[in-house]
Amino acid sequence: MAETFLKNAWYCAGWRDDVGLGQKDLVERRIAGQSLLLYRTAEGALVAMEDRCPHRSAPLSLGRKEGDAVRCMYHGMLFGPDGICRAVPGMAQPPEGARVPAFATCEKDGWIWVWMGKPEDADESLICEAYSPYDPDLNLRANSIRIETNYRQEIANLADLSHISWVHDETFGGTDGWAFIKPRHKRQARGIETRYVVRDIPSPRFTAHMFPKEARFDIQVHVRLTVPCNFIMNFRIHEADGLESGDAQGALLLDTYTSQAVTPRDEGTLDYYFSWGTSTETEFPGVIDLMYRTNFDAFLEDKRILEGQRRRQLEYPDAPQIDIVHDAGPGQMLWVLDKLIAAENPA
Amino acid sequence: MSEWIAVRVAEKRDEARDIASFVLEKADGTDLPHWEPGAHVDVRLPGDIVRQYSLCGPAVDTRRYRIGVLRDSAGRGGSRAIHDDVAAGDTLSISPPRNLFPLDVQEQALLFAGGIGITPILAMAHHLSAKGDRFDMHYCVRSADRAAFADQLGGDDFAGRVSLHCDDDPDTRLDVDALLGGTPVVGTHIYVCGPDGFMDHVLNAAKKAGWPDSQVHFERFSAPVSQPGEDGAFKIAVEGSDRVIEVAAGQSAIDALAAAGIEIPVSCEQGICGTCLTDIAGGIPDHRDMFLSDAEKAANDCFTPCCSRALTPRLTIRI
Repeated sequence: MAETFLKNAWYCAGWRDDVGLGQKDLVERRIAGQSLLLYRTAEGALVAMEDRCPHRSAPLSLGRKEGDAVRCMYHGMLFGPDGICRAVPGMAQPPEGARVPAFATCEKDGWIWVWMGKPEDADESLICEAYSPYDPDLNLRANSIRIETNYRQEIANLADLSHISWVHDETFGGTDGWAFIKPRHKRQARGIETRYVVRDIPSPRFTAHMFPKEARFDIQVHVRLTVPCNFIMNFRIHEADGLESGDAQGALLLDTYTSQAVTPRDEGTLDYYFSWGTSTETEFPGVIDLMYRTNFDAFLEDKRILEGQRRRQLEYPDAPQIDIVHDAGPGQMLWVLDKLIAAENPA
Repeated sequence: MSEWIAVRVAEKRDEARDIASFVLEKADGTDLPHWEPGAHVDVRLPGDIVRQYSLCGPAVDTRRYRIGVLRDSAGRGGSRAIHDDVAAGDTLSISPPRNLFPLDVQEQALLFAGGIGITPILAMAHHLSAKGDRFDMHYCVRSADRAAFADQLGGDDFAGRVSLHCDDDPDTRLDVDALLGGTPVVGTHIYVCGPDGFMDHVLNAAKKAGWPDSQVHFERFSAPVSQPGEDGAFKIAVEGSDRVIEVAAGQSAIDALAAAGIEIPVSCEQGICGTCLTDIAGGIPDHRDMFLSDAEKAANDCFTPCCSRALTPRLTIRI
């Protein structure tokens, strides 16, 4: 069985407010097949370590914070932010090897990132560029959802937006226009970058009631996808310009920004952290809330189809699956992922 | 098929015995598409004959194209049609330029032209001269009265760089073994265009002297073009590098590239998903995929190396 997860990568562990300063704020995360404890020291510094006491495997996330350290509340062992055991009550010295593996962390663009490889290999330049909910020029609202599927299916979902026409017919869709786009993906070292315009389509369903039926729009899409599964998109709705190629030229109605990070928990479950909103320049009253609710509804649509797909894939593990014209993005992303995983696991 | 461009013959000039040049300007007076030395255009001639002619003027001039045509009385009729039936003031249709014979990056170029093969070589010489690059040109003709473009070749720009070799004057004979013998020079590229016998003579000398294929470039008047569907061998050059990868008969392009360390994402391996779609900078692919539409295939600006091959001896890809 080939390795499932990339080790030398940053995985999103949530929004920055997910890990608070309170004494009980010992956050449990499962990332790429490992259980992690995240907490903030008294100074606010972020700590990530394996959520398992090396004594008898009790979760440290059931413990308590003491300054910059965490105490296991089974037998009281105290671990520093580096994971090294500082004290075992009743013993003069902690025994040799009493340490918890610690992980490198980084906070960027409102997200918490954990490097699942060796901490000394952590390279912050590999964290994806994202739109931050704290950017003063943007008004984004953040959320998260859990989906019971393998993250490779989520990558394939995000690398091929033709599914908007079908999965999201009731939210982002309302046209089959997305299904006739054949994007040219620009290959990057750790992903793909894609730009295109969906032309001359009716309003997306969630705003259709605001416009005359015959109104037509161009949607300018710019997506950056990186491994393991980070999806950063600028999605601009313009009045249709009637042109056949080039950037959308019609009046800009809504300039939207979304950052989405998908973190595999294990083989069959993932955590999905996402934001969506507009530039403050194109925001108007009520739109952020509408987008927030639409986005969540849309991700429930994804959850439904992805979890159904997962069930069938488990029922028919050896069934062949055919390719279609929309598989270029998924093919390229999964190829990059497999190549990086293979490089970490020489035969 | 790309759209035809309407052009007006601004000038027709006798350049040498049986060779005329034609200056073409866009019929609507606007600029013609940009082109690079080595490029050719399809010209639609009276009688709906389509022929390829290399552009031979300085490539910086997009007001006009210049082509040179040898009147070949034994030919298929294209050159007779343009010589006899086309005059200044006439309008013709041409395709946008396409370059199957591009200049590489080099420290020095050795240019070999045989007969009417002077046309792309002359454009290269103009370009190299304007850039200030080192080059030497050897121009082989049957007799001095058949040497075209004498005015340009004799100009100050090319002083000391052009050697004329006439078959009927043994003193001027081209000693290609002496020129190419010894050790192939790193950074020197050879460009050859002319009739088959001439080309074989120069190319064989280069091969014998051990010049690597990546430093030898040529264009035949009638390229031994593959028929669609044949699984023959071809070459893939990588734009911006001097790498040339041989694709063996029956081998897929993606496998040949991977074996050469050039990894391109691939998934379905049967031309359906488009994962391996790769930009084409030169040459004409033999499209065998279901991913590209007919219009996209006709543009010849990309191909799927998992299953598609080449109609020209060489493709240049952009990665």
